[in-house]
Amino acid sequence: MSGNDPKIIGFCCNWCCYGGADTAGTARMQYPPNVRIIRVMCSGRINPSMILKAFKEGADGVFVGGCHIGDCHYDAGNYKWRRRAKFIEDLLPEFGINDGRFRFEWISASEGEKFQKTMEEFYNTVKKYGPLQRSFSK
Amino acid sequence: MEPEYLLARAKDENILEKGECGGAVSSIFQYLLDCDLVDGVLNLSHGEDIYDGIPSLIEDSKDLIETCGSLHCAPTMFGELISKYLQDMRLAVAVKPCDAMAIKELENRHQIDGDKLYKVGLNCGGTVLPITARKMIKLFYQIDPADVVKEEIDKGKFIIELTDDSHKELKIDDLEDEGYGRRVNCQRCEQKIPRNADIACGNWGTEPGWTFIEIITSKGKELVEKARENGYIEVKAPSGKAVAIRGKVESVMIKMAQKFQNKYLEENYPSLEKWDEYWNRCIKCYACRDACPLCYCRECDLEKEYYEDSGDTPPDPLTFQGVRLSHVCYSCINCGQCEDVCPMEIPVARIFHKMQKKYRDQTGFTAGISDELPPLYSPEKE
Amino acid sequence: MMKVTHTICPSCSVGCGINLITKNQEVVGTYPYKRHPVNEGKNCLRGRECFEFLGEETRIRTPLIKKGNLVDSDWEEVLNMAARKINSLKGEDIGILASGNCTNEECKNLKKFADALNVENIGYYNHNFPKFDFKTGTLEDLENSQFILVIGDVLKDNPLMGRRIILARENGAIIIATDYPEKTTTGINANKYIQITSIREFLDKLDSEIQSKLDERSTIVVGKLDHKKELNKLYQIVSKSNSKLIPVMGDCNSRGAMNILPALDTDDLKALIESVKLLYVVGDDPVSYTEESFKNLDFLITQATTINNTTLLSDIVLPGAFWAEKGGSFTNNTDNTQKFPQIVPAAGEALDDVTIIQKIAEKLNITF
Ligand SMILES: Cc1cc2nc3c(=O)[nH]c(=O)nc-3n(C[C@H](O)[C@H](O)[C@H](O)COP(=O)(O)OP(=O)(O)OC[C@H]3O[C@@H](n4cnc5c(N)ncnc54)[C@H](O)[C@@H]3O)c2cc1C
Ligand code: SF4
Ligand code: SF4
Ligand code: SF4
Ligand code: SF4
Ligand code: FES
Repeated sequence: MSGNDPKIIGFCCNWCCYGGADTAGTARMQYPPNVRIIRVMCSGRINPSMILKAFKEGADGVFVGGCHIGDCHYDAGNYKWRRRAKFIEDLLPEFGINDGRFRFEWISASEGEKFQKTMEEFYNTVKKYGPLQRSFSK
Repeated sequence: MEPEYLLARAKDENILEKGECGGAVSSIFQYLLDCDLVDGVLNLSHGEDIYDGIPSLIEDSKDLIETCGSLHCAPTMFGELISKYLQDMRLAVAVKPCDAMAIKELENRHQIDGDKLYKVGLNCGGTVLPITARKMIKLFYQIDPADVVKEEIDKGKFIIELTDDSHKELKIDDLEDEGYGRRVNCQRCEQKIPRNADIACGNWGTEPGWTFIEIITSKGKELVEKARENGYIEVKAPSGKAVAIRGKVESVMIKMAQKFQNKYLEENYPSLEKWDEYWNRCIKCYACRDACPLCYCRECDLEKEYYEDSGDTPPDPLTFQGVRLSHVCYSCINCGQCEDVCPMEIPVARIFHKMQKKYRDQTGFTAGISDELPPLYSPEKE
Repeated sequence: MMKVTHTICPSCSVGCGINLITKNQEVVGTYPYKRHPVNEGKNCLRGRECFEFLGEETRIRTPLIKKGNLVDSDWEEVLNMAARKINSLKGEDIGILASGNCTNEECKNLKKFADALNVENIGYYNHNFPKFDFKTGTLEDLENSQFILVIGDVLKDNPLMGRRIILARENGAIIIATDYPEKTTTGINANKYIQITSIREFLDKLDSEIQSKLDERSTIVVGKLDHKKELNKLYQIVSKSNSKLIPVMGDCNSRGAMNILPALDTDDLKALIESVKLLYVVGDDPVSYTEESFKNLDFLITQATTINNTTLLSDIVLPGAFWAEKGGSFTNNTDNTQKFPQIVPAAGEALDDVTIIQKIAEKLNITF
């Protein structure tokens, strides 16, 4: 991580949140360029290992965006994800990672503004925490 | 099913003599083998001495005499042996609560076919690691461990019986304060009576020479009835007082376990710095995974290039135990096997048990007891 | 049909106990052997994989003979051929090379066989560890030490020896580790890691901190040497300070073989091979250490379990047995001799190695 500029990974579901990011982009709503978006087909595709891997590879914050509850393209994917997200919040502190560095939201394809606001907030939160300093070092 | 209690003992004199209590467990096995209701019995035979329990598959009821008696210094696990090697057999198995819990989780995951299994439960106050037991007997009892012919945990004491018939006992609490005694996961274990087996057998509430049986399932009820009808056991009703005593002992034990959970998972839980020290020792030998009855995947994520660090040790705990935790901790039954086999003395079961407890508090899912998979896997919209 | 049987791990020199699970006379897995005093049911990955060799694809199942290429043969043909060749030579032209993986019983049989043929060129390759007969420290000494010096990455290479170092550290011992790489697993877990460029120099100019710490409650664990003389140097150091020494060698019976056969270093190995016309190799793969030494050899007999560089060069190959297929005893690093049983029959036409040695002897009309 260069200086104090946080690296953020955003996993966005193809059908909603990714669309939200797109909407924000086309409407030229500014959101922090440090957020690197990875498109996934559904938030239900994301498992805790992927979040752990992102932190291991040096992310300072990890965001996951899915469809609003009830709107999942695959019916129940986001319910499944929500249960996993809860677990990730419990797990991260066990390895010395503040659970505030992880966030998830429901954002629809039309909610460009919500996407922008969420990213800004999350960026500021992660920035406040500073670079992720893992206590584990070989 | 309403719980049903009875006392039972072997009709066969040899089994009655060699059995731990009334030899009822061995007699029930004898009945199952003789009447060809099972192909084999999975239990423990005695190796070198009383500290050496070896899983064995008995196919001839005459050999059951070699497996009579309880080995309190044999923390074995049967779950994986069944799912990996004995799937094709009709089996009866002697299960401690943790064995029964592992089997339950594996049944829920379709790794064991419960219909092929008779689960004969043994109450369990805890097991002691064999080498720990030997050291402890030398150090605190000042006895040569080879002179001990029998050991037992009763009324909070670890009792040893010597070749000359004399007994010596010490308070288990005192031993455990010194780092000896039962395995720490056993100290935390609340499952004292295996109510996830078909019957639960024990010495609590019993009379000398009898085994106390709690009938749990209808399969268990039929089993005990048929074993009696066929002349393998005799039974009688326990007194109401005995049943009450048993209940009381159980609840005292559970309270103690909760106290220990608090001690090991909260008060004395290792700090982050201590965990880093532990993880730094990990040699990525996968012993913890391989010993865990819940980890049965043929292709494990931990060995996938994606999560594996170069060949180096120690592996990053986030993508090593972190990944394993995210796969199985919901179902961790606190059997302690992972910790027992870790060459680097990393208290692996502690973090798994802690996370399962958290999960249980949030969702009500009790590993090894609940009839379904953890809600994490549920397709329900909730 | 399913059975769990105690045995000793053949994968390194620590001498851990391990249980093998067999199903229908085939080893299908391992199970923790918690009653074993060396490792209490804990085994490293190499240990738990020990049984996988048994069914390996490169397993030699029949005697082989060179007719252009190596081709399948039978016991009668290869034994006759071996006997004829041996008979045609004097003792001084024959060399016998055992290995640190041979059981004590095999080593003894080979020694008697060599004596009967007046063969003096006999030994086993023990890397850079020379023969020694001083009393070594025990695992308990190590665990109860207050100061430990570790040479080599013992935590990684011999984890169940490493475990005692970890236990000592948990009890407050100071650990200093030393080795060539920038980092080692042992180094990471020591109080101090010293990166060195030469073991000899390190020992000659022993750090004053280490010198001051070495006393009767200290142990030096040495997992690697560059030259056999260094062991003697270490012995002087521990003798002077009253501390203990545990040499950790490579193979499961390195220590046992030493009591019976000469321990060879690379120079000795080359010299032995280059001075004979016929070489009989049991359980090792010397071509992989010193291929050029084989140039002038007339005849090469190997007794092996799997195809390796040496079997490929051989005139005849005798299919031997893995530890679980034969039984015997191994002596571990801390001088503990442990017996283990035969658990499964040998693969194909393979025979247990003592039997093979005796069959050759019969053909030669020698008895011992
Ligand atoms: C570790 C342990 C702790 C126990 N603690 C209690 C307790 O606190 N309170 C209580 O009421 N009862 C306890 N029991 C149960 C009790 O000791 C008797 O096993 C039970 O009453 C059955 O007696 P029996 O004479 O009918 O058994 P037997 O006819 O003697 O048969 C006992 C069977 O258990 C098998 N077995 C022995 N050791 C083990 C083991 N470690 N793991 C799995 N199987 C084993 C034997 O191979 C045999 O098949 C414990 C048992 C064990 C093994
Ligand atoms: S994680 Fe450890 S304690 Fe939990 S079930 Fe697996 S082996 Fe048992
Ligand atoms: S860690 Fe995960 S992938 Fe590996 S065996 Fe366990 S459950 Fe399966
Ligand atoms: S058993 Fe211990 S050393 Fe081996 S992988 Fe598991 S935690 Fe690491
Ligand atoms: S440390 Fe050595 S003897 Fe022990 S299990 Fe590992 S390879 Fe086998
Ligand atoms: S498709 Fe968007 S969360 Fe399932």
